[in-house]
Amino acid sequence: MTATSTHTAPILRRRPSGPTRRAARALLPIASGQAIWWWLAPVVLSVVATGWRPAWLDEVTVSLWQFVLYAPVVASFALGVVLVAVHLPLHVANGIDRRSFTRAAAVAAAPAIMASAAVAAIGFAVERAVLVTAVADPALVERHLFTATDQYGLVVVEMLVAIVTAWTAGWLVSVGYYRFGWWRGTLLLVLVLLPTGVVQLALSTGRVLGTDLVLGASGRVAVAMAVVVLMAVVVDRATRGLELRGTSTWQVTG
Amino acid sequence: MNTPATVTVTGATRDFHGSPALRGVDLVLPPGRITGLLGRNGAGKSTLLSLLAGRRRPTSGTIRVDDGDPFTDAATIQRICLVGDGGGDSDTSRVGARIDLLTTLRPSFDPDLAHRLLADFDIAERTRIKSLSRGQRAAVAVTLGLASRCALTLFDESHLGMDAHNRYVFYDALLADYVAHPRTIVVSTHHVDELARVLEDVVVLDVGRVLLHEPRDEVVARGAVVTGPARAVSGLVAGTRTLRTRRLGNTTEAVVYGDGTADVRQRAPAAGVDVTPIGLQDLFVQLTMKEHA
Repeated sequence: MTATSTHTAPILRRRPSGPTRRAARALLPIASGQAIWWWLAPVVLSVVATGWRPAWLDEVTVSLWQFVLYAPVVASFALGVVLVAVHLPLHVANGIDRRSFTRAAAVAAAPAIMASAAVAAIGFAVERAVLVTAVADPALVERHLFTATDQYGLVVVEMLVAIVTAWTAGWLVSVGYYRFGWWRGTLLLVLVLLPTGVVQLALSTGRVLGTDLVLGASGRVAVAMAVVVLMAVVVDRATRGLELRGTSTWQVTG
Repeated sequence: MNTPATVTVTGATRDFHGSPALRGVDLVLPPGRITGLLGRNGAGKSTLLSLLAGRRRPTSGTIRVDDGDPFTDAATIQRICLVGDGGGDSDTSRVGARIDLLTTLRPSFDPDLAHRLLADFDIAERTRIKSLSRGQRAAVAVTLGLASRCALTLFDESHLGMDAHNRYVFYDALLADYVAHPRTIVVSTHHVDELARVLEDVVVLDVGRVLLHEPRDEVVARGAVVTGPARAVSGLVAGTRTLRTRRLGNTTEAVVYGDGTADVRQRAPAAGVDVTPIGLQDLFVQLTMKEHA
């Protein structure tokens, strides 16, 4: 037995007190970093197009920025998947309970989601001011909660709901595959896609399952939010009972 | 201060697709002890450790670490650390980044200890985990496990793949940090004799059940190798639990285990036979072979 004495230097870095805060601190750079990546390509392309300004751009009558809005939604779905598949096992293996992790992930993703909604609105504003000069009111190809690209408040609301829905759906899909494996996980996709579709329809056409909602924008948002809250409750429940596979997962302490 | 944890397992079973991995395990691990968890492949060691760490839930029965459920209780989970064998084939993180992460996540994590141990293992912190050899990844894993200073620290074959030098660095570091910062430690291993000097208690699992749970010294004292003339040996060990008997010509070697071993030792000189101690690993092998026979 060689019991040498150990001297432990004081730990100078302040650590957050609760598990939710600690996990949120660890996840914040991941969520924010991913948000930067998902906006990088559209923003760079827009800046290049603005500077280059090809002749055909002046003849464009539809909003180009509206197509960019798919990027944060899809990327948010991917973030939800990655959080469960990669970061949940790592965090639980390192002392964070599943419930705290779920809360922390939501806290960490919130700034990225809110910033994305803001960038979406700013993008429309920039497009109206700089990019498109031939038309005063760039057309929208698809139906949205907003009917013109200068309805910035509605743009922000729609993007917030759409991104949160995608994030939640990604999380649920990932939980399904992690918990139930490939085949049963794939079957469960239907249960995730259904509410996601309802939210998308409520935000866009205003028809849900063939029925006109006969609601204004606030009513349609309320329907969408109700579905999102339901999905969030399922996320919390499903994650709380999630077992980790094996004891030797890819993380070194795991 | 992270006080050592008490582990209480009551009637724990765990099935995988209908196949039982643990069958009614009852176990109490007192606080502040180093326990060796021994068992053959498939005995249920990793399953038991994953239940203690809150990775999985028992199919039936209960697991308590102090008074908390390690699967659900936030305060309990942060007091537990389960260290695997390193894994990490595809982990692109740098070793230093993992230290930063654990410094954030674990209130008791000591980054200075982690830095020192990595230096002892000769591992550069800027290296990506996937670039390390299996043994080096195991060294990183035990480093992070020790530096986590958790009230309940579980090593599941963590030092598998480490070379002999690094295994001894690990054993020394384990003891040193345990003395400085007492905690409850469970080490699952197949390097039984190597680790025996570190262990205070021994739990032997066999086909999902606890075969024995005793202090190491008592386990070793209960076993002995009796060698001598065949008739003398058979007469001496009669009535004592004999795990194995080998005969070469007129000489017999018997491995005995149990309360009668002390009596065998006492009567051996008069019977003209030799009684020698048996190593923990040999004893474990004989015990588990006997149970399967």
